[in-house]
Amino acid sequence: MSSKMILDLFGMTFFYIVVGLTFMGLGRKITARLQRRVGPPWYQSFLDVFKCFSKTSISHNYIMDLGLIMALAGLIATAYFMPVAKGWTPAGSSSIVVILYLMTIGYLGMAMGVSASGNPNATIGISRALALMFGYEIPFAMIILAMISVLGSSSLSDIAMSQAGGIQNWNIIRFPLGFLAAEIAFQAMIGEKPYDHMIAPAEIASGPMVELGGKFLGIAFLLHAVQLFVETGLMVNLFLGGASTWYEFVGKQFVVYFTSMVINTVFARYRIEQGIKHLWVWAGSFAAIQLVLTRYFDIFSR
Amino acid sequence: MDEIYITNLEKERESMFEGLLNYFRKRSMWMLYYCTGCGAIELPPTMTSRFDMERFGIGPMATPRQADLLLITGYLSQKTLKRVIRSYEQMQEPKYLVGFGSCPINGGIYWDAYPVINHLEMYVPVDMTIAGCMPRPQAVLDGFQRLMDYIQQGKADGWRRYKENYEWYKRNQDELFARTEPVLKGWKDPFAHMPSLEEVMAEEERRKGGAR
Amino acid sequence: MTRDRLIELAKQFFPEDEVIPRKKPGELEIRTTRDRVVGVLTWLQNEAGFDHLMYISGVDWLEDGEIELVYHVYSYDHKLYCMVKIRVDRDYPWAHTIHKLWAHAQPYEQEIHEFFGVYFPGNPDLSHLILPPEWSEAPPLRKDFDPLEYSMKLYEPEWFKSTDTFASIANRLRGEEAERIIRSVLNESARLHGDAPEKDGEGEA
Repeated sequence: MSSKMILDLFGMTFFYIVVGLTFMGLGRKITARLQRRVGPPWYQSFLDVFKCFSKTSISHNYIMDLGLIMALAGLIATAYFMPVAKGWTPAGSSSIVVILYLMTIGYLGMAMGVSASGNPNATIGISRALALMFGYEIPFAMIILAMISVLGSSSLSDIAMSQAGGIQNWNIIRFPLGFLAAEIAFQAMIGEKPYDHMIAPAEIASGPMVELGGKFLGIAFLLHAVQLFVETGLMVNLFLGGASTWYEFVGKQFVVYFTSMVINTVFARYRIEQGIKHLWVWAGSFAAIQLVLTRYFDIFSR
Repeated sequence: MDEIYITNLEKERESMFEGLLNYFRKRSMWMLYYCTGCGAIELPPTMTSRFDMERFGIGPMATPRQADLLLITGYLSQKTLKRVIRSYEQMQEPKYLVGFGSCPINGGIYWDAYPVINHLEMYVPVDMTIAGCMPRPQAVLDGFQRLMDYIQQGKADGWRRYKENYEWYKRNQDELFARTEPVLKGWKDPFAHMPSLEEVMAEEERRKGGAR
Repeated sequence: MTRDRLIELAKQFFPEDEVIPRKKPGELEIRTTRDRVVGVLTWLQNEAGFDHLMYISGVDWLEDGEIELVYHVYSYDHKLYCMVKIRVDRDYPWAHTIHKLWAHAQPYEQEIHEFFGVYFPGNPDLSHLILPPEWSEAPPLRKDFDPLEYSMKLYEPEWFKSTDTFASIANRLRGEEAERIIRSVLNESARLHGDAPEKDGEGEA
């Protein structure tokens, strides 16, 4: 590992966090504007994170510390596998299977850390998050299976490169039902309404975050920021044709996030069993139809 | 006169760094509102479209661990005070406490009621009180902006006062919660031993006989 | 069943009790005693169709030395409202429990016990429901309990009343000037009120 690569990794970590936090601030602004409010400034999330790190914090045991660090590390590691521009990835390879597996480390670390705090609300939140994971992973995996079966490669940068040459080549055109399914699953993935069972402030007191105060909450914010980057990046690379420059990439990510925030603003929350049922019935059936059409009838592939 | 607790600590030296951190603290206040009384109804209009508290980075939070700002919205009964103290002690420093309306200041219209405490500042440090019965959203926003100024100047140091003067606050709290003597003349319950129906009727007979 | 018919029946069944129609149509009042009240309520519930116990309230008649218990019952079938009143001795107040008739009478009786000191032998739980567990005073809704005195003694102790402003100033200020300012405020206050707090302290001692 050369020193340049290490610098790259550190620089990219900083980039992910800055992009994620900016998105979070903009998301709050979007919600506010849709509700006819002025809303906080776009840099509000940075203020929140800095404030969180300036506070004291209480740790219940070392599992809690390690769990959150593991979650952050897992998500940052996932982000290294994300192709940013022209198929370039900090980690060198971009296998989509690796990405999907590494992403679970983030959730498991979070689950480990907050369950160690011993608060029942946190445990409920984590169990909800894992239950919801069953809901969205299956449709998402089916769509990815369809793409891999057409392209013959599981590399995310290959998928992104294969869409080069204009909007007509984007997977959003070639896999319309798959995009619909992925959009529904994406909403559940980033935990916005109608699938925000995991946080649910009025119900289970913000779920996993219930015992996190001060610096732990700051880490949770960073976690969410990196998670946003990874998941929007996944959508951009899978459906929106990847990007040739980093600012194009961030712009497309923002479009994905904007759509999600608008849906978030106008929807209410499902109950947990309704949410999973909805994901399986709608996202799952769209994805299955897409998979069958692609694999056996060869309609949407070129 | 010796009852007044005077803090004789040196004024803390405020560095540039502290000023910067205070800027973050004032621009991002997450509040936990303790909906004890009528004040809670003034908060939805303050938060939603018309007055939009989120402009200043003030937003609701779900648990004491995450919050910076504890709002006591209205009267506090003796039983609720115990929970308020618990929530306040669970919050992470720096933390601020805002008394909302006239009831936490001096009891308000409940000043002569037996379950409602009169002075909140006797039991927990209050950084800011917003007068009114109830304060309108404008007053609430004005109060929060003043609190922001205080935080920037380092004057909102209730959490520090609570640590330094803990004996004073604890003694006042114990006067309510760990009291051994009755406040007034006390009361002797004739049924304190929870008698059965037969015992009660026998006692009734005995009393009637005695009266005769 | 109309009200008149009900009054007629009630008079027939309970000749010793007073059955009075109230001013408002559809309302009546039965004045009975502690020994007969369970019978009256059982009759109202099972025979007369009063299926709903709305509340049990208490009234303290200080001059008479009695506590009045009022059972509010309502009939959804006949749209009739009936108050059954009994009076018990204030010094040794007790009444029969009716939580076997209406299960939700249990917390009502618990509350009456808490706030008026009326005892219900047989009620499964008469612990404190609303008052703090440290409560050691007379039941607070009795007329001889003085809430103002209680509030002043507990929540505004003498030392705090005289030093209200100063305590808050003392807590706000830091450094040596705090005491000087407090002293000056104290003197100012003494000048306004005509007597110095220090003198008060000496006088009491």
